[in-house]
Amino acid sequence: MPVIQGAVCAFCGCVCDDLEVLVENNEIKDVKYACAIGREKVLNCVKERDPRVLIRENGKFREASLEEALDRAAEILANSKYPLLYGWSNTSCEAIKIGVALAEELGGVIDNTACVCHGPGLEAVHEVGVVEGTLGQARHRADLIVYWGCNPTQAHMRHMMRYSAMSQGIFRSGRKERKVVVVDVRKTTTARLADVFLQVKPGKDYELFQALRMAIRDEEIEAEEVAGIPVEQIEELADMMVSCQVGFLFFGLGLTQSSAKNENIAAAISLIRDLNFKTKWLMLPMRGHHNVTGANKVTLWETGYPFAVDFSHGYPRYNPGETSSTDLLARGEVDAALIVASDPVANMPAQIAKHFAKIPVIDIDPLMTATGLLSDVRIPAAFTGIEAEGTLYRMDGVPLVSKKLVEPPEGILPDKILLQRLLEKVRKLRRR
Amino acid sequence: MKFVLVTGTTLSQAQGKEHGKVSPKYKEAVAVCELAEEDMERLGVKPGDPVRVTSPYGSVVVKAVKARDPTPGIAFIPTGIWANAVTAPETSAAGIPSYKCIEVEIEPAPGEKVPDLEELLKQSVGVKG
Repeated sequence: MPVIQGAVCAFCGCVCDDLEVLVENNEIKDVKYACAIGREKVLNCVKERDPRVLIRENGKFREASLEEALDRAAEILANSKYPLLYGWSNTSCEAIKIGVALAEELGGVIDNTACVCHGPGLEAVHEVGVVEGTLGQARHRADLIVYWGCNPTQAHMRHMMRYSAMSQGIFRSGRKERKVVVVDVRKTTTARLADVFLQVKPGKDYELFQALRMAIRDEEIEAEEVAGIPVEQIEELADMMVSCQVGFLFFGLGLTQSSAKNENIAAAISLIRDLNFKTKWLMLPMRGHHNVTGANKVTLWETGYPFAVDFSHGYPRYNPGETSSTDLLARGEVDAALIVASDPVANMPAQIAKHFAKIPVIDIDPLMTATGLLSDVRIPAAFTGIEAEGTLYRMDGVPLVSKKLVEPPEGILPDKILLQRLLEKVRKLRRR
Repeated sequence: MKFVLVTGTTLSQAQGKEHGKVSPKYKEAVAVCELAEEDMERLGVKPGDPVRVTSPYGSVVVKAVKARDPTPGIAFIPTGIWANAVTAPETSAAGIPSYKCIEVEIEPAPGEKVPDLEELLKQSVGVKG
């Protein structure tokens, strides 16, 4: 049975590139080394595909040819005054590049799912600068790992084993040579594996970061507790952080999606900057989708901005809060939407998603989703990383080329080809 | 009873979504509210009972389950359309809505059905046609 070595997992931002996939007669029979989620995806997702090309007519779906659906999609976009092109974090960089060209052609907005996950971290970088690291540095060098507002045992299942707390690095090997700290509002499954767990009060992470910064500078904290944590514990953690050789902070949506949002990350970056006056510290966001980092990178190098890019003035503009998809939808400003490899109808608050019911929506996705159910044109695509190759960016910005493991069914095309054909049709209509 | 609602990824939610958002496996994983045992006792609900979760932004019926990471006063709903019936749309000029730390009211909902994906779309987002 043919075995594909070094297959790349297209699930989370870890983008593990050591999978072995057994393929027989164009069917995936087994997968080794993947986590429980990656395994579920590689083995099962193609079985759950909805292969129907659908167009909504008089309120109801009818099956259509791919050509007819692309024609209808091109008409919707070409007739739109201010379209939103959203998603992109579950497809390849090559497809995203075409998406940017389409947004520019249409004078629309291109936004990716960073808007609802780690976008605040990108905004914080504008405010206070950047301290980054690679997963290789965490694996080989870090002797103190802090997970703050994230739960890798549920969402990034191989992160601790492959890249951090339990990894077999060159200079640090295994769990015994490292300390692990978890800060979270709940005692999560990750917290149970930690040496130190701080249960922060919900929405009070910003205060805790600032208290830690004070403790690191040996300033007196004039309170008994901050954010629900006794000051002695804060001072003990500050001592641990200062006395390690290489520390690594991984942070999650617990920081970006709670009330202080980008200010939480600005405080975290400031803490790491302060620590670098005493010892070596690095940090990274725990990116969720397998190519959300790539969506930021491609949009950045094509337009100068990582997400929420508005072409309506004829040149790229970026102002989260104004040009972000969430705000544009909440204000009812966009008049059509192209959604690629994402499900914003399910993943945005209903009060925002409501606008999708009022505008024409084109959905390109291998699976039927809530967005697909609400769409006017639904085009099934090949699964990136399984049926289509393409470049993906790991959470630390390392690009990896995913492999095609099996051929997609006849007539099912990769996002890159579907978008190229859509772009050509839009250009033709607009030049009439 | 008042709670702080946290939403987020879980293993079964991530596995369920790879089977498709319309799959029963996905609904089973996501249309749930994790509560600490003592909070369930105070609410008078048992695991599997329907509860109604209401925020200033909406309301949804989900199934109560025993929390894996119990913290009294905190309710957890996995990321998805059921959670997003009640999450906050305001972005505070940061572009991101508040998916965590939302004040909600939770009450028993005896006899009420946990809506499936299409029913929930009609209730909380809207339909076409």
